[in-house]
Amino acid sequence: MENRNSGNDKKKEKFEAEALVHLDSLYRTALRMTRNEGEAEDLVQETLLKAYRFWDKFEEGSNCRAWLFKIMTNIFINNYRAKSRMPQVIDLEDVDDDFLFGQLSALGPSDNPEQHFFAKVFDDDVKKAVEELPEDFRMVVVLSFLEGFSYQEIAEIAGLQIGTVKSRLHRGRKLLQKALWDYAVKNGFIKEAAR
Amino acid sequence: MTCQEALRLLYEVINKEASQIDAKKVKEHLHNCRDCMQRYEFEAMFQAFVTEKGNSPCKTEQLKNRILSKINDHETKPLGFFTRYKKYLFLAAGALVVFIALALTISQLYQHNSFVYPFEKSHLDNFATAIPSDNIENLTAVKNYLSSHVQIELRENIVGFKLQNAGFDEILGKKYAHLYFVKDNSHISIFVGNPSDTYLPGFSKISLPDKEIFEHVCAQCRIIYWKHNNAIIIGVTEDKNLEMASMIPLL
Repeated sequence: MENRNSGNDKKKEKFEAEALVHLDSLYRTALRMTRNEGEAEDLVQETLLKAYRFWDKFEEGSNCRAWLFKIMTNIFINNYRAKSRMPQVIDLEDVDDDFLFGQLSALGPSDNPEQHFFAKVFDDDVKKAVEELPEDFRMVVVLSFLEGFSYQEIAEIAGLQIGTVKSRLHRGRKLLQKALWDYAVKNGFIKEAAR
Repeated sequence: MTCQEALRLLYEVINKEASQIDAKKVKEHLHNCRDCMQRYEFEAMFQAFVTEKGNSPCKTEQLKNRILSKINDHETKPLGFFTRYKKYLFLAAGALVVFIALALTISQLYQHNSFVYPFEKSHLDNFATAIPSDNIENLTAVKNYLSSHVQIELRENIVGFKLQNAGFDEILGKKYAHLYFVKDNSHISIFVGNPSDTYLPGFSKISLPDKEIFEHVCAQCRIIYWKHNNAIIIGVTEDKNLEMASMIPLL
């Protein structure tokens, strides 16, 4: 009994030091994916408890954070994704790759429109824009933009081909830029810039 | 490298995903192309901007505590009831085995003391105080009893056993004719009782071709009984080497 307890204490200590330190990052992503605090907490809790249960399966020295995100992504896809998920049809054909840059450049070379623009976008707008991305794009955008995973890591976490990761990131980025531009317009950026 | 090629690799360079060669080529191009450089700077800024704004700190202290306490609960629970209490289950199983063994022993002892011992005692008492077989009075009474009550004819010498004594005993409140046989150092008591509904617990059944015999073997004695013509016949011996079935022909 004594041995088991000390073994468990050690396991718990190691788990806290190596896995629980990623709690914030997991929660942030869960929040962006579920768009709901309660569900995000449940998702993270489920993820970490599962990770703890399979802690001995985790290969020491490998990327713990990526491992945790893989577990979470699986749980999310299986249990949290909207049940009646419609195929995601996104028409991006009319959005240029340099959409945002083009819009801002068009405002005139005089000032520094980028700086103005970024200053005009609220933190919440960014979060909202991310959350409103269609799920498939949202996942890769969050993993890349917010969590800084490499394409290869994202491919493993989300179970995608690396080419799919790249194309989803590309389209996700365009959607994000378009959404942020729309917010900025709504927030009165254009008016101010035009003045 | 053309502008188009450079722009195609733009994000891979920003994300540090481009190969070294590609990254070098793109950077060379950027230094020579102001438009592309501006675009690069903007996209890099956009990337950093989203990363920064999207990653505001969140409050996870409560969640952390909740998870830790779940882990503490889980420490024992997911192991399952069996694993958790394995030790106790084994102890309990051990205790149960000991208890059953003890109960069996006690019950055997009780059965032995209650039902076997009286016959055994009678056998040993008569063995100790064997009266010569010229006790004609008793022998005649026993013969009459056997022939009239159970229709058995008494034979005085069979399979080497010699009838040495005969009489009546009252055992467990019932009357039995007691026949005492001797052969070398073996002694056998045969008790014949009536009626046959006498039930002796703690005996196990052995079936012979023509009879059902019940036996009881213990450290003290060997005893068998069988039914015959509405009578119960009980054979007892202290001789552990004696074949139980060899008592049967005595009656």
